Parts: sequence; C-alpha cells; structure tokens
Amino acid sequence: MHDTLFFRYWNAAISELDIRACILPKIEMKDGSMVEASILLPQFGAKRGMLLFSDYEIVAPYYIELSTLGYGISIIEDPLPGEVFELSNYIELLKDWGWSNHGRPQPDWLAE
Amino acid sequence: MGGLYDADTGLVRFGARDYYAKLGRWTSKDPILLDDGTNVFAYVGADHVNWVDPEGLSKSPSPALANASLRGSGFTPKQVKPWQRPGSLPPNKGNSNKRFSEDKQALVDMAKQDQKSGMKKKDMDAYKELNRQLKDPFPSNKVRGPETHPERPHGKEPHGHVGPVDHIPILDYP
Repeated sequence: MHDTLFFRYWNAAISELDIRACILPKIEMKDGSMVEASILLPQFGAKRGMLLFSDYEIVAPYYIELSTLGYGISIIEDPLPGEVFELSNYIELLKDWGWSNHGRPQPDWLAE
Repeated sequence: MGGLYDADTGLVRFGARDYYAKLGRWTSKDPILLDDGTNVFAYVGADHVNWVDPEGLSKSPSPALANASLRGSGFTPKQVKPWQRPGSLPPNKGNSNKRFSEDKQALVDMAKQDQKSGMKKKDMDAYKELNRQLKDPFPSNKVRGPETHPERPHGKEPHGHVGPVDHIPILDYP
C-alpha cells in the first residue's frame, strides 16, 4: 500500500518541505471502531491536523465526530496514471489548508 | 463543436452541458451558465457554433440553436439574461480565467457555476470522474474534496476544488 503513487508523492512532498506526517494513522471513535486515514499532517488545517483519505466511504460515518475532535479532512484520490509529481501543487494545497501549529513559526515557503 | 441536437438524450447540447449529459448529472441543472458573471468571452469562444454575441453585451443562441428542439432540458432562449463583464467571480488562488483545452475548460466553467450555487457530494464525484476522462487532466490533488480545514475561515464548511476553481460549497455533506 505504501508503494502507491499517492504515498510516494506525498512522501516526496513531506521530505522536501520538511513537515511532519503520520502514515496510516488510526483514530478511535466513540463507538470503539478505528478509522484509518492515509496520512495525518498534524501541522496543517485544523487543531489536530489534516486527515487525508483516498476513499470517501471510509470517513463518511465519522466525519462529524472527527471534525469535533479537531481534525480537518480531505478526500484526495491517487495520482492519475502518468501524473507527474510537482512540489508546487503540494505547496499550494498546504497553503490553502493553513498552518495550525501555532506553537512554532510557519515555514518560509508557506508565507511566500 | 458537434451537432446541436442529441436524439438519444433529447437535449440540446452545448459546451459544458455536453459533459453533464454524459453522466446524467446536469440534466436537472439550471442551464443558465452565464447569468452570474462567468467569463462569457471564454464561454462563447468555446462554443461559438451555438452562441453568438453580436454586440458584446449579451449572448444569444445562434439561429440554429434557437430553432433546435429543446425537449427535456428546461431551457428556453428567454432564460438567457444579460451577462456581466468578467471580473465579478470570487477570487481563486489559481488563475481560473486561464484558458485550457476545450474539454478542460468546460469542466472549469461548470465548476465556476457551482462555485456560485453550491453542489452535492455526488457532483464532486462527477468532477473527479470527468477529470479522469480528460486527455490532459488536472493533478488529482487539484480536484479534491469534500474537505474541511477549520484553520482557515474559508475552509470551515465542506467544499471541493476543481482545478483553478477553489472552495466550491458542498451542500449535502456530510
């Protein structure tokens, strides 16, 4: 699973931009079930960070609960066949989500 | 651009609507595509077979379109109102006025319209599917959603992104 383009491209962006990430994080819901996201970016988008899912169906039953817990959510599909990695696309996306790690200054590339 | 009337669907097909018909998603959509300040130069430019803009003030169906059957679409030429000049669209981070290939531009034009009126979750799915079908699709992370990111004021409510068109409200999500 980690060898998909989705993870390879995100790993490249995370590495290039030197940001924190958690791969395949599991979050326990009130009913005891575990929700597994593709990636958690704890410094962006919401108090507890952005959860990325490739499939809407995974998150749909827990969307409100996850939001209440302080997570941002985004459904992003795998890169399309032939899609080329472009760091600028990831920077644009992260700028849109916004820096949420208020205890630390945001990186310079985010402010540019 | 192809013919004006599709005997299979009973719709007059023009520009972006052609795509909607393929998915069966846009047939109930208000077909007034340019009643909100959308860049009509761009639109007419993309479909100058079906639309004319003789005075640069309002678009009108070409004589051929006006004479075509409009069964099923709910569209009549009377619904076309004067368009506003470009520049009244909400700001996007990307350059939503950039011109793309014809198919890609149709996708962007649809998204601009939905940015005004909002869309449903299934519409976001349709955008992703349509993007996959393009010869030169947008990167997958530029056609994304639903998403929320409460750190930003514009991200508190569920929305989607389609290429250069950002923050399209999703009205029925979650």
